[in-house]
Amino acid sequence: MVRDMRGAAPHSLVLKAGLIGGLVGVYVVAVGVFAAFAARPVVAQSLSLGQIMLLSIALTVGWSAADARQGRSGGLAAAALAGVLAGLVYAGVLLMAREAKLQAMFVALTPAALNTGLFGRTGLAALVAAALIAGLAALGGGLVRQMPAPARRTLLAVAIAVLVGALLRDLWISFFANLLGGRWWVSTIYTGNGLSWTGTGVAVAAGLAWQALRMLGRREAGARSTSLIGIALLLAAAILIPYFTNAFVAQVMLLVGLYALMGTGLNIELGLAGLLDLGFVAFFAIGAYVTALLTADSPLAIAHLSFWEALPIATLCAAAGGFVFGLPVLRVRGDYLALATLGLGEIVRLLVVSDMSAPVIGGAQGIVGIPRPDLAGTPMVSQLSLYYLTLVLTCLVALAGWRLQHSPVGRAWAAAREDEDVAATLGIDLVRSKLRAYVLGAAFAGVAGALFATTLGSIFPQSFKLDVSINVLALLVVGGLGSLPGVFVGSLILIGLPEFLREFGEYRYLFYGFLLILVMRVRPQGLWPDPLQARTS
Amino acid sequence: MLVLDEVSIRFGGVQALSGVSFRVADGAIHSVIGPNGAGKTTLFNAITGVARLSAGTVSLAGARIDGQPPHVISRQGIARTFQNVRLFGSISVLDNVLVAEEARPGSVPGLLATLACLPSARRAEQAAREEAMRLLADVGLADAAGRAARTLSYGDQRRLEIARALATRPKLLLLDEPAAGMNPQEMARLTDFIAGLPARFGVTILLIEHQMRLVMGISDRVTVLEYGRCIVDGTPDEVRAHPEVLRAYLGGRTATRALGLEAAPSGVST
Repeated sequence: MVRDMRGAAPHSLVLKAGLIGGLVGVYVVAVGVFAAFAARPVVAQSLSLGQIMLLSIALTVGWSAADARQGRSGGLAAAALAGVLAGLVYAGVLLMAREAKLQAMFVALTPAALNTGLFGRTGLAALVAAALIAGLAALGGGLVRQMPAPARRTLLAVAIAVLVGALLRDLWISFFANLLGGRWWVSTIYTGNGLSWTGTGVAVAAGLAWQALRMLGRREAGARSTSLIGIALLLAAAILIPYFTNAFVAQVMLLVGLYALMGTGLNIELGLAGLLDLGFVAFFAIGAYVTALLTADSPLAIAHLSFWEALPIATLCAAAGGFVFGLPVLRVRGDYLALATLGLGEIVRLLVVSDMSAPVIGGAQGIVGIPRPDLAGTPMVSQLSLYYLTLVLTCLVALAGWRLQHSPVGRAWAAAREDEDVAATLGIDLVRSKLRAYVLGAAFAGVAGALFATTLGSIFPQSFKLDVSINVLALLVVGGLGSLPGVFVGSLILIGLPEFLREFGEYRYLFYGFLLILVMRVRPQGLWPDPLQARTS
Repeated sequence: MLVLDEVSIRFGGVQALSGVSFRVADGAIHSVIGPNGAGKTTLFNAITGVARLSAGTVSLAGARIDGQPPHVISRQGIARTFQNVRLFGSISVLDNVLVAEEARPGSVPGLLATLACLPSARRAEQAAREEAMRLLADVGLADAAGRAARTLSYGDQRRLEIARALATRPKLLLLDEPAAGMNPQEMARLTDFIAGLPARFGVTILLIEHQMRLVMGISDRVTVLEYGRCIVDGTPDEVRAHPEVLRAYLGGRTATRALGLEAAPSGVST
């Protein structure tokens, strides 16, 4: 009898999935994530975020056990078995930890946390409960694996809707309170910190509606008009949500807009022209410092222009910076370009903090007293008005980016990105083409820098570190390289979400990291990819 | 059209081409044959400026082009295809042709006009698009215009590559083994297609090919390379009969017949 490798040792696979799942569960409890998340109810005081986390671990165990059986019989049995095993390992280790009093080593293993983690039971009862719950959840995971894809997507949409409803509670509450009037809505939908049963129902319905709309859109219209509708929805949300919520939301969205602006710039360099630029923050810094020097009410200022006069100058200065640095650097290819630009970013940062430049641009003290922009004589002071300024500039820059992408200039970038040598034999001047991308990317970063300076009112060298370049790069990859709407989605998720999830403290970066891995694993083309890339990858 | 005079290329210790001279007549189909490693592709790289000459000169329509960067040479009217198809895989079939169309100097307005959405820029883009569609229709790929280039079949990719090269409106088109990997029907179609190019597009063709039927059937002139040297240069008939070719390139009589260089007895197909 011939059996393939996967069929040869189903026991070892089930064993592996169960063991890993159980130990991941233990880890989550031992490092304190569970305790922190268990305090956060999601559904009607009866399902906490911590429990959801453990359940989804068991679900994943079942999924991978069923996945290993690949459509052959016994998938569900394997899933359930792996889940039971994971539950036994989990409860067994935690019970031992309780006996061994490991709190000295693992600070988070408090008796209370262990008690919640073991469902308030001891000994055999805890083992049985864990095995039963994990087994059922894993069976669910196996079932989900064997579902047809549309059903699976619907379930995912519902799950995401419930989580978004529960975790972004503050955002929704302020939205409901301002838009629909009164606290009545709020008390119907939320109880305590989590969704009420009614609220869960609303979230489920929203998830279903969203999925139905997507499927309808896909069937009725081509990819192009679906993405147009999507962009219209995105824009409407960007305009309305900060208006109907509060200043905090506007402030976060302002940051999201700034990063989207930079993302549009880097998208030209990396997404369209294929130039991996890790020194992008340099041009952001140039834009910010030029604006500060031209407008600030400070002894360092060299002029007292208005923001509107300083903005084009700052943009041009950043573009000129791009030209000057680009000329030598752009003859370098691929990975080497990344290193060369990394060096450039560091040079600019060191110049800014150095004592040498302190008399001119303030060194570590930075520049303070940068005025807000005026609109028809009155300064724009509220976060909301500054946000709308950012939104308008971001949209303008995005329009320019869109126009460039679908123009001869953008096509030449695409050609050089795909194959430099061939592009050259077609008559494309590589240095000129790359320089264009680099200068335009730098100019857009300069616009973002100018906005950054005027919205904050003061700038310090710490704001211009390597993380800015890395963040912009990450949001491009998450959103989908080369895709303009992807820039906005990526910025919203990587820059906005950590701000909205502040209640989780340092653990919110757990979401961040988890999301990055998940996106790269499940959707390597990004959350909102360029249509042509999406169809073929 | 193209004159090579004592062209030599040396990569470190390897003499890839030594003293190659020949001329390609206006409107001709000129083939370069030779065993693997004879320096045929290096010759193409020398002409297109990808490889630097160690000695000698290359001139196109009377003007020297050696020593210039590839994009400058391209703009003077030389386009090429590659031995292993090199398309821009992730952009659309139409964009592959359009890129070449728009790379011609003066075919589309510059960056600022584009950004400002000037009507002239729009018109130029529209004209380029129509021209590209016409070329795609010519090679039979109009229906595939919106697809990503890498999703085309191998034969279609080869034809798209030729369309892309033609879109630069070259005076001289270099084809590097265009029939590689094609079945007999595809090859027959390709042979007709290449044979018709000089009349339809006013190009001169320099062709590298191993398929002797194709070479001998459509070439006006054939140059034989061996070990980086030009050993024979003449009409197909002269090359067929040349003792050097029989000795150096083909070995013995059996091989000669197998490759169809000698008129095969009727009823015997290769």
